[in-house]
Amino acid sequence: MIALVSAKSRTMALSTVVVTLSVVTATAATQSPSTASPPSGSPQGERGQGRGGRGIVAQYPVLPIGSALPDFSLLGIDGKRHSPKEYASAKVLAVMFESNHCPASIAYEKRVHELYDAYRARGVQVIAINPNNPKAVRLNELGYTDMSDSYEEMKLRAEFMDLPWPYLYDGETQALSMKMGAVATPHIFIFDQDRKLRYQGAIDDSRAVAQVKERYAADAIDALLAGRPVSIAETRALGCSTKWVSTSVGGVEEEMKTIQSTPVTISPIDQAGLRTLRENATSQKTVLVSFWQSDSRLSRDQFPDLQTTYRMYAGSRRPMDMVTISTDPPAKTAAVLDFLETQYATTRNVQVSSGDVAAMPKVFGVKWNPAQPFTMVIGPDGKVLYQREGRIDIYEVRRVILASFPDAPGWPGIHEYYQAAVARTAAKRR
Amino acid sequence: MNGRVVALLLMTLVIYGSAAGCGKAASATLALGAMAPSFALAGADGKTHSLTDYSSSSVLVVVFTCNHCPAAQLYEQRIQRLHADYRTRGVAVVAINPDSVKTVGLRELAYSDVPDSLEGMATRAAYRHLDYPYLYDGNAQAAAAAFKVIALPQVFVFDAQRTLRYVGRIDDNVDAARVKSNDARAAVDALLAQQPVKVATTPVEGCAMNWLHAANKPSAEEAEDPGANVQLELIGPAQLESLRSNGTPRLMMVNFWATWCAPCIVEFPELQKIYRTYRSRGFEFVTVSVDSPDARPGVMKLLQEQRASSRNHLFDSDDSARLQDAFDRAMPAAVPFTLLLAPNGDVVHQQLGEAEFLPLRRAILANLPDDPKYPGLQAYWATN
Repeated sequence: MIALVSAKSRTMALSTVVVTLSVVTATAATQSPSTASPPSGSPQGERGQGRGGRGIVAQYPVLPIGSALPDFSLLGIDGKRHSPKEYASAKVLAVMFESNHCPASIAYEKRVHELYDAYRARGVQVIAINPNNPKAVRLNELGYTDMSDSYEEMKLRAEFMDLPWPYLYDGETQALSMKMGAVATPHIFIFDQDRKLRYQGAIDDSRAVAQVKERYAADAIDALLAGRPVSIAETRALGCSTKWVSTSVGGVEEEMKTIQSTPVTISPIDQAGLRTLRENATSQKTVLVSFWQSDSRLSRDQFPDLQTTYRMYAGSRRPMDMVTISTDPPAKTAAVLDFLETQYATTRNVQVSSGDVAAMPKVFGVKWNPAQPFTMVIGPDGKVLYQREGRIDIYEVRRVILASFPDAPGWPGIHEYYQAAVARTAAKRR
Repeated sequence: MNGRVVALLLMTLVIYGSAAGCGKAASATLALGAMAPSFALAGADGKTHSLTDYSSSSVLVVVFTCNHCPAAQLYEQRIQRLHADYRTRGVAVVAINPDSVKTVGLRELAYSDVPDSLEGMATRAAYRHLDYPYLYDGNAQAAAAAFKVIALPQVFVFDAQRTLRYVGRIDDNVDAARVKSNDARAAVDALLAQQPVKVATTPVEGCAMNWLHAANKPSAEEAEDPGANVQLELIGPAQLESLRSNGTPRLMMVNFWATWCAPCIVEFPELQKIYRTYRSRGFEFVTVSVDSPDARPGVMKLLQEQRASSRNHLFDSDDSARLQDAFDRAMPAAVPFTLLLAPNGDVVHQQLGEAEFLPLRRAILANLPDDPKYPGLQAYWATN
């Protein structure tokens, strides 16, 4: 490669080549093939397989085994700041990086709960830390969750699922996550009584609970409690990449720009159209139907959350669709469209033809005050999974939708998780 | 006639293959002595520029150029220097791009990071620190038609009366180190000194003009790759290890993804498009799904929806940690993870989390083999 450009350009070329293509000179790691664990925590640029030349470089290398627990002071969902000294009396401290939105985290939530229950009486403290900044999480990354990764939503998740462990927010600076190399959720770090790292990686060896053979985290805790060395000290935690505010905010803005540049349309719907919608015989999707009226304050207030719901699931290609149905009289079409445009409503938007408003309750088999919003979730088999006049709990609506999706092939158990969540809502209401 | 210019289309043929625009080299360009055609075009700076905006300049240099053409890329800094060197001497330099996404298909973008859209022009101008006006004529090619452009880049130099006094190349060698005759500069110098332009016409070498009306123009369907026959094979530790060392003579992009990973799904179409853009230059793309083998139907469905013409693999067991280790012990746990492997297995670019496409495209361009017809092109992409 010879820079045959001008003298000035050539100088630029060579100097930048050095920077861009510089070979990392750390000595090749000559791991014995029998070593069970990966050389996580390698210094930057250390090679994976004794290969010469340029290798995979960790932007935030994982904390090496034997390292001291880095200090921190993070806001917990209890509104208080938490730091390591608070847990000084614990014999073992397990630091679990997890997030609300990640299907892998969700799939492990119950397993973390079991770990917590099994060991808390034995002097083991489990704390969870969310490394993500919600500003760096796009809506179409939320296809498997009822909520995103904001501090407020961490509280909501823990409250709804009765999660007993401290749940701390590192999304503000992400400094601890960077220090510990928490580039994915879920990822567990287990520290001994002296707060030296003794295990890091996955909780166990299978995404599917039924297929778990090795319980890495539990084995490591058992060993530490018994004063034995941890036999497998490092594994790899497959999961969702941490959403760094330093690199991912652009993607969030890009997504919003795309949404905002999508044309907003409205078309009339007649009785036959309403019936087709209600039957949902061909879409093979779960359909969220939102009746609304432009004069209704509540309709307008609830509109953004419903659009967000559509962007979360349809945007991430889950089998979901959404239709907004304005019950305004045809004379108000302009005002209706105007509101839809302010909401960037990229959903299918229809307005009931004047004569058909009366037929609406018959077609949908339920009566409501058309001046009020009415929300319905219809499964791909045409079954009504949710219906409510007036105020909705958007998280409940989302959980109903999530429970209607088939299981995620990569994370068996997500479907079951949301089915249980829907049952939990019903139980809480009683 | 004096203004007759012969476009040397050798290089053009290399790039364009069967695309339109070749073979019309002998048509006449704007004749010396002609008045500058008027124009009013949107610039990469977001403003509209017209001929009269430059009426106070004693010399006007109009360069027709574009984003995708390698010759145009190699001349960017020379146009910038012409602009910088003469701006205080009453010389205005204006670049006009007659191409558009309608005239330049994926295959022709094999040498470019951005398409020939107004947005692409703004990106290029910012990345290469070009501060001359760069105007978009791709909508109707009205300016290109009025100037009778033959090839890109092509220079038109007008005197104070806006009479055409020079037309042709910027200089006599696309390789800046071997330039002997700075024809456009000589013309500008002569006009500033109120002297006749000695060499008033020169031949143009570069990419042939792609006319909107021409038959056979590359279509948007090209991007769809309708013939893609989607394949999916399981991959085990030995093959992953071998994948990591590349060992092929080609630059290889490897993308680890999963059906449940939203950023993976979001970036997938663009990664496929990147593959289709550069594959004519010996570029490979391998996708590896870290889903378990029982997720095969879902993986296949997605690959088919995406018309994934890449080589596609799926982990052959649920033991993702072991398989990732087999690929590389330094591989991060999370997906998406995208890397570029040189033929010798060197990692020349890597991205954990959703790929940033422009840096990825530039890394690909900087690591594709240099093209002897465009000396310095690889260095152009390796630097900013």
